[in-house]
Amino acid sequence: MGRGPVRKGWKVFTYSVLIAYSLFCLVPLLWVFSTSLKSKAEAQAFPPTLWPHSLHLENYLIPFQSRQFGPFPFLNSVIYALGTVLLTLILTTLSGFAFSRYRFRGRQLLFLLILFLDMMPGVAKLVPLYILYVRYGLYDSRLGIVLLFTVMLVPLGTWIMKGYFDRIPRELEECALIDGTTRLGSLRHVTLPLAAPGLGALAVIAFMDAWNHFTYPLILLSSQDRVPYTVAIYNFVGDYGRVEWHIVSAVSVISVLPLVALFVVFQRTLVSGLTGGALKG
Amino acid sequence: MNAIARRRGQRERNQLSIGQHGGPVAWFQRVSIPYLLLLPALLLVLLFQLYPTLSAGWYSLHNVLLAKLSQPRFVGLQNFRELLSGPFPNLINPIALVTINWVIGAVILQVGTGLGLAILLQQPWLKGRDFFRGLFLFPWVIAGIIVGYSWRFIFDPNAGLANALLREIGLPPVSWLNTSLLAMPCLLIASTWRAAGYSLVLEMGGLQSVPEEIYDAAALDGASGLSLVRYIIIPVIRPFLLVDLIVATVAALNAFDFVLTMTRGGPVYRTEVVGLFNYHQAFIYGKIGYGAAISVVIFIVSILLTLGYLFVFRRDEEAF
Repeated sequence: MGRGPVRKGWKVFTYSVLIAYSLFCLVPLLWVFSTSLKSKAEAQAFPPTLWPHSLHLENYLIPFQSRQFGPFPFLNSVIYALGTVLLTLILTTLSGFAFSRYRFRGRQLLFLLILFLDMMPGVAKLVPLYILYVRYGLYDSRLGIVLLFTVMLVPLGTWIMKGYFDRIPRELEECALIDGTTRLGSLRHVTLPLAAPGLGALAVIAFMDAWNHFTYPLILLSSQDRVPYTVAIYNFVGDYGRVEWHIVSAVSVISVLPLVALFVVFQRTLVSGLTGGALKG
Repeated sequence: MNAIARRRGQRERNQLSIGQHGGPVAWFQRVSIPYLLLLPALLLVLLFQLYPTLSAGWYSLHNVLLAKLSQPRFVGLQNFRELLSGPFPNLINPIALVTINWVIGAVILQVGTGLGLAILLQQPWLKGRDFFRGLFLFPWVIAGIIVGYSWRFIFDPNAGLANALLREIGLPPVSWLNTSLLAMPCLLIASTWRAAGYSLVLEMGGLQSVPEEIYDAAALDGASGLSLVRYIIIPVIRPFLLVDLIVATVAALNAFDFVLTMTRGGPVYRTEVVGLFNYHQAFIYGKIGYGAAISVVIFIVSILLTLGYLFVFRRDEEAF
């Protein structure tokens, strides 16, 4: 074989597998999108139609007008996600900088503690967090939700920011120090602008993470006008009876749209954040 | 060698800054800065991660009811006894069996699919690599609850896509998620759809760390596809594979939202994974103390897994 031409059979095999798996990825997405445009009767008919006979764009308005869903859930999700992004960037810039630039007592221990606590499954924290929230007045508060979403991003965020800071030569900061700036001043004026790609990657990851949370808001919120869209759609579907798939699909499509936009624009950033963050070193 | 040189450089730098600022006040300010930088993040982590983890242990020894949270009654190990040997369903039968089934199946399918696709995507002559990778990763960013509903809809006995496909090839419809032998495989298909892209991205990161020349040299030596995988690819991406395996395991242990919306743990507990069991017992049946005991068991299992994780990472000096 040597460096000769790649065998044709291997090429055909590779492309066939990749295209087959692409279909596997795409079909559920297209199926939900197609259903979101169908009438109620068509969405529940068997055999299902691949493409709607007539377009029912009103499916995208019905949830916002309904009593069980209403206009607030998506607004709440935006608030929670943006709040989480902001808080995460502030906290992990500081913590990432501390771990990257300073050697201090307990450094390794603290770093391992943060990673270790992050490895504890969230489902096991439901009960104690619920008690904590009820006891200390955080239950059913927006602040409590943003704080919790942020906490869950602290380990990954610290890891990503530390990785980006590590790659920025200290000499640049030292130049600033010699010029009379303080160490933190050099963080603000020299290091932070250079770490902008890290901040961007983290912001995208944090937004997507916060946008999708379901479990904690489910048990920690009770007011209908404070729940994010994930909990709202869960309540809308309810426990029993037939699901109105055309409405659920429309909500699903709306919820995925911001993710598609972020994903298309930031795919490379996201991938580098995931691999760089999870596997640096 | 590198690490030593770096440390020496660090010491020199520290001495440099000592030379710049003198006096005990300045010394204290310099020493306290990293702690102050860490304080906000650390405070949140201690309050919302460490405290709940520890308090679960305390509550697990008490009888706490959802309706009467402020009146815990000490009951010793009774919750754990009930957990291990109480009437069906208890933690051993069927929850542990279902969960082990689920975790092993989900992890193998996710990591295996991810690795296989990563190897294919890494072929140097391949066109459209970024497109494929993006498409395969995309399901991973969708909310678990949306993934759950979408797949429940696909497997819907009355209007679902799966039965439409069966009809095309002349087979009768199947009640997928209500059939005890089929519910778990359906769940595994959906979880692979969701998570394989994440493994793929990690594995591709590992494969890209292999220099091209190694592939060329191996090809010159006449290494064929499978021996290439066995002797070159696997050893090189071993650390990536291990991280991937452990991340996937913890994520599978953590499965909740998309199982809840897809099968609700049914039929008859066939897909009641431990997270779902915990939620049902604590928040639907109101047995908070019992739920805390389940949490403690999940923590212990995770600690064992995490120790393995740390053990692997300790050997990689550059990681820290």
